[in-house]
Amino acid sequence: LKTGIISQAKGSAYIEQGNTKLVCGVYGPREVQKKSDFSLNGQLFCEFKFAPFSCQKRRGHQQDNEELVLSGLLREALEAAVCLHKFPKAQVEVNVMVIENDGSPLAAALTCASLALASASIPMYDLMIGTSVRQIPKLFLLDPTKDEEWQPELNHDENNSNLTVGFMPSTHQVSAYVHEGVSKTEDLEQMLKLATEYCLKVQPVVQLCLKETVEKILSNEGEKVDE
Amino acid sequence: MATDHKTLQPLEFYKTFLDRKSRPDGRKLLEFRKMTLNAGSIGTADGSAIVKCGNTTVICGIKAELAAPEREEPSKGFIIPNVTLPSLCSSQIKSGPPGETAQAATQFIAELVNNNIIMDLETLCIKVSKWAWVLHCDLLCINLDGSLLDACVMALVAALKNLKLPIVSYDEEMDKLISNPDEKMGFDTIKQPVTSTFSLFDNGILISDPTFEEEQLAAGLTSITMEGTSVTHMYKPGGCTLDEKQVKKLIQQSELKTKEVARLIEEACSSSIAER
Repeated sequence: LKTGIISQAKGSAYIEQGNTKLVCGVYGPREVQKKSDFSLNGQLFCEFKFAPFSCQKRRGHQQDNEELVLSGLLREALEAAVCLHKFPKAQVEVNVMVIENDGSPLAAALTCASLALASASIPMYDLMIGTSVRQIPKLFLLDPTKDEEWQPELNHDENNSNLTVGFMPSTHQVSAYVHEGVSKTEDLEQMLKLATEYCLKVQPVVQLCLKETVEKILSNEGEKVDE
Repeated sequence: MATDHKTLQPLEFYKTFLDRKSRPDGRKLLEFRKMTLNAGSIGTADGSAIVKCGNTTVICGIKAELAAPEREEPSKGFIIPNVTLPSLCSSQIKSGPPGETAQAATQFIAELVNNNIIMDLETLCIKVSKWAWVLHCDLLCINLDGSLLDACVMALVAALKNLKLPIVSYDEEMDKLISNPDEKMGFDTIKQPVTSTFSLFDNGILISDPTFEEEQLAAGLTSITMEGTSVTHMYKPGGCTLDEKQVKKLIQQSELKTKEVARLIEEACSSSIAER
């Protein structure tokens, strides 16, 4: 985990989860593009994109349907974490770019985006950590790689599914819950429990990264004042 | 106080630095930024490289496909470059179809490729008139702070050097291609062009490796591509005039940069090969 990777952005973060690498840039608060949409709350604009060379099969340059769906999911999850009422009439842009996809891109994106938002000084209720769990008959796999992930074409039978969870550790709230496949309810409960436990374990790592970022900013400010 | 002056009158603020022959980030006029290069870090791409020129970061990923060569050029493969500036690289770039900067950069790289400056396209041919490699080279900029072309060319060259494709042979009788995915080969005949970008100001001042702000304030821009000690390509899109003496000076500076970059690429590629 690293912040400040994009010097031009207000806030940015880079995450490497195994081989999955992604970078997130946050810009804003800015003026809303469509002046006609007046709202008392701020708006969040998310863009999720896979780099053309990030997957086994080359992706196009325009956003395809999968990316649009993921952008929407990311936005809904982050809206729960960001204090939208603190920047009325403004919008915050969150741009996620996946450099290498080796499983769980949405989970990594959730963690990375919340870290980037925090480093951009956007007011938030809590940090968000994303995890995914893969269920195969008799086993649960935490944080699956691309080969281990659930494939819509291949796995049609019972007890075969993928769950991505966006969890806010301090407030113990789940803000994103994406499930693909077929599972029993008891299994769902267990998967959610596994995911939230894992998020709690990851939380100190993210907090440490944020703390280091703040310390760096403060020491830079101190230097500037001395000049 | 200094930042207020900078926001209100950026050109004046900048001129005070130029008069003292230095720049806001402490560099001399003709000094270029620190460059770092990392090759082969992306597993899903057939060849990859990440380049940082100061803050400007460009990632090049190459994906290879097979296709039939064009009828007019039956013994040449294809290299299709594409420079993408996603909206996360700069606050000036909006999302949507590629803007002017991205298209101009793509065209620049395409020119280098088509004139065989980087690589001989005939080495990509598998079977004349039937099969050839198509290399989709996607250059992704994740941080735009000036000198986009320099970073792009460096990343492309390093990624090509890093490229490993399965060995494919053509079976005449069966009219099929046979390949063994475990055997891979690289390309040795890749030249190493290096681009150096310079910004020009009205009173004859030249600065090398401009940052994004410097590029905006400058009166003109020029990029010189060199290989070793010979100039292979020069790009000057409009802007103010340049006389012979200035061009000679720029070429001298480019030579220095070329040596440095060639060294970096050698280091990066040999270390990535050693890892494999």
